[in-house]
This record gives sequence, structure tokens and C-alpha cells, in this order.
Amino acid sequence: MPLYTDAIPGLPTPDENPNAYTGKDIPTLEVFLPEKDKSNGTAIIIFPGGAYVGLAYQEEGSNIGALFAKQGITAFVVKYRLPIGYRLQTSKEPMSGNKYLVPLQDAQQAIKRVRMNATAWHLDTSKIGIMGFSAGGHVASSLGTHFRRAYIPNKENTNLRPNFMILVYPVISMKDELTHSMSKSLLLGDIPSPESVKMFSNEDQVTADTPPTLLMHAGDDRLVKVDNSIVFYEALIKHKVPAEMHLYAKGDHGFVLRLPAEEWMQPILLWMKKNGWTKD
Amino acid sequence: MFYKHSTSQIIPLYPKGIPKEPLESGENPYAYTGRDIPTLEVFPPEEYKSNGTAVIIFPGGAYADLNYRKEGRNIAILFAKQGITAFVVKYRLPVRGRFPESTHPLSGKRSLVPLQDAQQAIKRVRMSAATWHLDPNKIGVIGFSAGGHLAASLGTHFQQAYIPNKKNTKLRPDFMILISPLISMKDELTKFSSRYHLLGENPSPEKIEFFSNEDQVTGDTPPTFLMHAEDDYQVNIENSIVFYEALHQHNVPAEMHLYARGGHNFVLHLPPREWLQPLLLWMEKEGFVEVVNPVWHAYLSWLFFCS
Repeated sequence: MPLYTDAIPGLPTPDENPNAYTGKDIPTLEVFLPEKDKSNGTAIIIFPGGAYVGLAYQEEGSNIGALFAKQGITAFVVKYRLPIGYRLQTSKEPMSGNKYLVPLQDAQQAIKRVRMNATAWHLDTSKIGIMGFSAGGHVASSLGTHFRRAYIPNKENTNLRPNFMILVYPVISMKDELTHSMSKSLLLGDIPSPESVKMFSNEDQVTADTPPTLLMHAGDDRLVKVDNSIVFYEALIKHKVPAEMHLYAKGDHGFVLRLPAEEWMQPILLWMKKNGWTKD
Repeated sequence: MFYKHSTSQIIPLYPKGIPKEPLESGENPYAYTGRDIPTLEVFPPEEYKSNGTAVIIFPGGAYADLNYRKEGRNIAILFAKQGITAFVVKYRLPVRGRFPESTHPLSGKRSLVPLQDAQQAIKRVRMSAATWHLDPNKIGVIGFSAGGHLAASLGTHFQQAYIPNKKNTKLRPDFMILISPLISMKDELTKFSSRYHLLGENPSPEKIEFFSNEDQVTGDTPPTFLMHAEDDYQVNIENSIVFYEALHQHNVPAEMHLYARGGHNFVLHLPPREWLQPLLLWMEKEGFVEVVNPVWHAYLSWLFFCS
């Protein structure tokens, strides 16, 4: 289903740049419902990775959604817009609008939609979590640290804070020493402003209100340094946010595609159960 | 939890006499009275055949005591059930007795005795590998809390022998498992009671550095598995994190599981499935356990489906 029922926010007007947004990448939300009597009222919104240049929609999206649905968890996969369409602009002014906000807008809209339609899907509004892989982990952790300010129209004042976050080999930081430089340049542009780097270095945006978080990463990740997860974990414990982290020696980037599902799903399911988001 | 094991056997750690710690100037010559004889208790696998892997267990106790049963025997029995031969070390404590006064003549003088006993333990197990049907290249160590500090000290100080070692037996463990470990002796990270018992009052910067194991990691440090809880108010979780970072920096394969809740040495309160399964999977992945036992995978899936 389309993510937005009204107009999509943040679209450039044609006179701004006619080529900036072609309308081909309409953001969508795909729902994976558990079998009728099996739903436990918990929802998880999944943000696939893809370095902000594409979306590993199946591997880090629908496949995972189906796995959660089997566990009685209602899963949603978000096809969020990529900032890349906007970078084609021959921009005269810096950032030519806040185009780096579009993935975050779509993330906020996703949780808003799910929350507003909770009754339709028989969801418990206190059990709506998010999950992100790689750059999708950056989208998810951005949502989990930037929920106070709405970047979308939110007349209803729907709570945009996720109840929990699961970040799998996530990009966290936009600082040069930690970031995945391709994701960074696609999100923030080649010469990002210090303000945008600060805003999207999510380790610096953690507060005591940041939702409980589960992190998973492999030490031999050649794309996204494991230190992304470590600095985020340290920021969480500094603010006394309950956090769990599993670091594996081997697995590299994208290990969910290579490891047997039970090996990496088990800690997630145990964690959700321990925290009362799922039951037996 | 109730465990029983019928065939364990306790042997003295040093058959030929306990070595004295290298004397420091002004040391009390009566440093060792022989009252606390270090021992090694072996738990041979009972239900299945041995798979040739061994773990040497160092119980915790803030270097003032040993939680021998909970962080020793009970753990050994769990491993023995998996076909892994387990050894529990009763290592000497730096200062005899519980919570000594700071004026104790031995305060800070016997910092090396736990490490000596750890080295001797791995030396004995390796030298007797044939007797116990062990693969001498699959001998690991596991330590809890201060025992984790001892295990990590062994894993980072194996190049120099602090015990007589004429045959030049390899003192490097093949793998390390550290549960809620104390790693550092630095003010900002250490547990002061443990540091006090090991190093005494006002330890020298050299001593602190020597026993801050995060600074002693090299590319030769063995592959390591770490577990810790965020709400551990005894040993700061940062101990595990700094050790992981040191390992990662030196390209030593390391796995770390950090939990939000559980407190100190939480694995002792958890059902084994939650911590034993990742641990056994790791040992298998890293090749420290040869999977010869068909029950093994059945057991792992049982652990999983019990969840």
C-alpha cells in the first residue's frame, strides 16, 4: 500500500528541478500478517539496507517480514525514498532543500500509519518496534533518535517514538572515522554541512528516551565498521537505556543472508520475549 | 540448580612443589605457608565420549575468595555433559584469608601467584593431554569476574613463564571465554576490591599496566568470547567493551554478547539455553569442538526450541 494517503511531503516542485523526483519511487508499506489466531499484537517495521542507493527489499525486507509473521508478529516492510533522486539536481544552493530528510520522513510516516491503524491490524500500540539493516539501520536509528520533532504533517500528534529498535550491522555515524562513506555521501551529499553530520550521527542524538535497543554486528564487517554498533551501545548505556548487543567474529556485512535464520533470529526473539513484547 | 557428577577427581596443581613468587625487596619471607594448596579438579565427560576439547575454569571471588561451586563445579558439569573435559582450578589468592587489613604484610606482594597457578594449570593439562584423551590444541580457559581477569591475564601473558617450564610447554590457551570479566586495573574501569586484593594499596603504574589486560593484547591473543550485562554493578561492562576493542584492533576473532539486564555473573541465574547455546555454537564455528556427537545438534535445537 502507498505510505502516504495525502501528498508526499518534501517533493520538489517541478520548477525547482523537473528531474529531481520522477514519481517512480513511490514510498510503500507492505504488511505481513501472521495467521489469524496467531497474532500476538506486536508489530515490527522493517527498513531494508542498500547504502541509500538501493533497497535490498527481498533479502533484508520481505524475507525477514515473513519470518516474523511466522512468529505471530505483524511485520511491515518500508520501501523508503532514496535521497539519490534529489542529488541529480545541479544545485546552486547548499543541499537544495533538506532532501536528506526524505528517508526519515518516510520512516516517521511508516510508524505513524502503523500506529493510526493499530486497531485494524489488531496491534498493541505499546509494542510497535522497528528494525533496520545497514543503511536501513541508519534510517531506523534516526527514527529512534529523532522522534520528538515531526518532519511530516502530524496534526493528530501521533506518537512517532518506536517502542523498541533492532539494528543489524547498522550505519550509525556520519563521522568520517566511522561512517560508511558511500551511504554518507548519498544521504548528505559530497560536502555535508557539520550540522547535518551532527544531526545524523545518531550516537550523538541518544537521550534517556531513546527506545530499548538490540544491536547485532560482525567484527569482520568490511563495509560498516563494527565500531558503529559499539559507539551507539556506549551512548545508550551512558543514558541508561536498556540495550543488548551481539557481536560475532565472522559473518561480514549482510550475515543474515548467509547464516541459518535460527542463529541470528534466536537472540532477537529471546530479547523480545524477555522485554514482554512477545509472549510464549 | 542441582547438579551431580560422580567421577570428578581432585589433584594437586604442582606435583613437585609450589613455586615461590619472585621475591620483591622487603617481602615477607614467610609469604607462603602452604595452607592454601592449589588444586585442579578434573571432570571427565560422562554421558558421551570425549570430543578431545578441554576447558580450564577459573572461578571468581574478587581475588579474596573462590566461588568454587557456582562458578566452578557447576559449570564444569555442564561442559562435561557436552563431551568437553573440564578442569576447575583452585588458584592461590594473593593474600590469605578474606578481606585482609591494608596493613597485612603480604598486601600487594603476591600479585603473581594467581597467574602462576593459571600457567601451571594449562601446563599440566597440556602435558597430560594423552592421559585425558585431549587434543593439545583445543585447550581453552573460562573465567568469571576476577576469574575472568585471571583467564584474560593468562591469555595475554603466556610469552613469559612465571613457573619453572623446562620442557617449554606452550602456555597459550587456544581460546578464552570471559563472563562478566574484570579486565582493567585502571581507576576508571577496575573493581577496587579486586584490584586491592591483587595489587595492594597504591599500586605502581607499572603494575597497573601489567595487569590491565586490555593493554596487553597482541595479534597472538587467543580467540575470545565475552559476555556481560549492562546493569552489572560489580564489574563495569566497559571492561568487556575495551577488551573487545583491543582484540578487534589486533584482528583477533572475538564474539561478544552484552545484555541489558542480569547483573553480575548473570549467566549463573539464566537457564543454560540462553548463554550456553551461543557459546557452544561459537566453539563449533571456531573449530574448538569437533562435532562427532550426533546428539550435539539435537541438543542445540532443543536449546533453541525451548525458548
